[in-house]
Amino acid sequence: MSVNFHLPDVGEGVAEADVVRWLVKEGETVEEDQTVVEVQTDKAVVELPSPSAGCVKEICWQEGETVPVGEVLFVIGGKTEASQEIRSKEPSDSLTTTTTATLPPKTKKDVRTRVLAAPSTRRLARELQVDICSVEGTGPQGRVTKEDVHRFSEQKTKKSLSQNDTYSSQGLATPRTLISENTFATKHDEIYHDEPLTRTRRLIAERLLKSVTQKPHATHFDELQVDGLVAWRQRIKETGNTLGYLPMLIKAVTQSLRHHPLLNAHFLEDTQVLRRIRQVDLGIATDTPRGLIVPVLRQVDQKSIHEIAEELTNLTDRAREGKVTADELKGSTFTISNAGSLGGKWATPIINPPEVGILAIHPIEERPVIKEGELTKGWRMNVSLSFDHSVIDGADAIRFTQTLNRYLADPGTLLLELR
Amino acid sequence: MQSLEQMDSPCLDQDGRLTAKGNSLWQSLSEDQKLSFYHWMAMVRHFDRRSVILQRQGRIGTYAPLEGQEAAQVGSALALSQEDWIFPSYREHGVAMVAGLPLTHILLYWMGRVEGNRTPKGVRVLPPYVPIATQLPQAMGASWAAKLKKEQSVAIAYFGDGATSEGDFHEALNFAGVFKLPAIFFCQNNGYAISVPFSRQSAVPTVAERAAAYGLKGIRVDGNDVLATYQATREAVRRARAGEGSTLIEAVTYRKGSHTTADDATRYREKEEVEEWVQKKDPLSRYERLLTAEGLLDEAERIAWEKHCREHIDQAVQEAEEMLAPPPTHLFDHVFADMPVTLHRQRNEWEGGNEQNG
Repeated sequence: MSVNFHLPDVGEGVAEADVVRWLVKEGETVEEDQTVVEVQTDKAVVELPSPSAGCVKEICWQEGETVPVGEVLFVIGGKTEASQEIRSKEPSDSLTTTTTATLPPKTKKDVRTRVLAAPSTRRLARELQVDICSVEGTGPQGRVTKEDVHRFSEQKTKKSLSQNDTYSSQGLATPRTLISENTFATKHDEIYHDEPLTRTRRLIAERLLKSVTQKPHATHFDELQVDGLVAWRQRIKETGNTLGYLPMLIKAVTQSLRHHPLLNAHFLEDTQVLRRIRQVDLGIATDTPRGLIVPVLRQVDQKSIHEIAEELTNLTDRAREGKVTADELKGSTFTISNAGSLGGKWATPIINPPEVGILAIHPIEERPVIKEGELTKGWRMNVSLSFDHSVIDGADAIRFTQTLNRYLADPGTLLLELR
Repeated sequence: MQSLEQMDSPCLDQDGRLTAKGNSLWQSLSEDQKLSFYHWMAMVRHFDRRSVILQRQGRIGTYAPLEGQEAAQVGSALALSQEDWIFPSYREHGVAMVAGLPLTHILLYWMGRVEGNRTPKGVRVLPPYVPIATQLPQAMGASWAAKLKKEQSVAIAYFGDGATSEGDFHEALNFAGVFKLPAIFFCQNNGYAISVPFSRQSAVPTVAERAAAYGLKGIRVDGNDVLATYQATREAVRRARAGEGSTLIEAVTYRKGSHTTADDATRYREKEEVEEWVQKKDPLSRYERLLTAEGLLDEAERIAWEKHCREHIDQAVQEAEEMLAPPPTHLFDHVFADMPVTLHRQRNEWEGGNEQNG
């Protein structure tokens, strides 16, 4: 007997959950109560255990998909041998129906419940107007795959075509137009595919829309001279230190914020208050498989570059694995978006409310520059600083990147301010 | 987090060794009594873990895990007698079990079944009180009734640290103090009211010291020391029966898991703090160490008992799941003696609609 696992309401009144991670594969054998999948509700990431021992017959929803409570999330069959037994028993099942021939034939509904297929396959079948119950499944445990549906649909088309041949001889329709129409129908699924937003993505969408529509954004672009930074890193690299640019840039930005505290602030729109914040908690925009998230490095102004580097690795690693806690995503005072590793020249980053500024950092490149009338080479880095123009002016933004430029042109100046 | 230093009469140290006080209690206990602390704590823990899994499988509706608080619950409940009245919150499955409520009932309650609230004859445990602190005045009332009827019974209310911020806490303790009632107020201070730490709940560092304001005796014990919670409750029972009045017991403990299956405690508790409690202060392994050192428990006996627990729980789960569901109309049956017109209408509508749908 196979057991359908319906997504339970794991959080007192939740309507749906996102699949975070499958810990088993189809066909794998599991014990009773063994954790099979992690799902995320509005409230928590929870592990769901298998209700019985057996083999995972079907995984009905993929990672990232949002599952309504009550839907079948996975199907557990008997142990591998047992499931084969069930299969071999099927003919005897039909034997009983023949002996009780007086009974009404099984309703369509009964048959339908026995077809295994992923929801996306079922959708495809609906779109192609294929009765999925009539399709012969070639997947594991007789599961109907998308290919099966396509094949079935094409056969249906051919059938109707051969019917139409007879019509065409009567001059009713030419097969040619029919071919193109039917080809269009089978390709329909490949033209577009609707994909609902994941929970994380929906939150991002909501937040960014609010920021960009409510805050008057302005962006200041600047090219910084980073020869000093590059030379310094080269020197410490030779001593075997593998420190990357980002921790140094974070330190330089932090020091610049101390000189321009207006940018290290929250703008509370409801009360029209600008809250200047004494410590620097930097949001670090991080690209993760679940979308962009912004974990926060705390009290960066109190930390050495080494400490920053260590915490940064830890934090961004955990962010990518989806393991940061909600607290670690809150309370930043300014945000850095490091686009350097991906390339690009300029950007217009969107402010992370209630902050008033966000700095995008672009790749460090060797560029042709004019020095004392001569064409020569120099290390340059672009930055794009978006700021909330309701509380900050262009001049503030320019002064900020100039200070940053001073530190990066000669990191030694940071020494002068060392405490 | 409070420090464990300022506890009244500790009986066991963190490694499960008896203190002088603990030793004198130990000498007064029979071997059966000594083992029953362990047997119950292990049963409670197995039941608790199983229930969380059942909730995750959608087999019970929701659940409030208690793992980590076994000693506070089992120790105190074993100090009570059959005639005493117990007013629990929603986390006292351990207390309920010791008091004689079958596991099937506890499971049925969390399945949303009214049968779970029907306690068998002779078991004086009220159904779990979900609204915070409402059980305190009721326990106080029960103890007052006992006093007026000149009965020997004591009433005990179980609650958490969050309940101490409620008006009901003040009302119940004040009344109990003024009338010298045979009541026990047993607070399992697990440090958090859902996510609110105790430091945001109280300006004074302990719950126990509030007893002084009401003229009650306050006892603060290590809630993970099963002998200490037993001893403290026994003393409170003695005082109540001797007409010396009520006692407020604060058992300092920690829930290892989340507030309920709908909560995620990792969002508000530091990992280090959780590890400290889970690894160093576990009430069950601490007591196991004592029994092992005293030659009362070996590995084979432990395994055999755990097997027994699992079988016992399996059987309860099976019984609860096999019970026939009541008709949906019973939704209307248990709140009003005389149902209002609107509910009558809803009930009729449901019945009519159901017939039409076949």
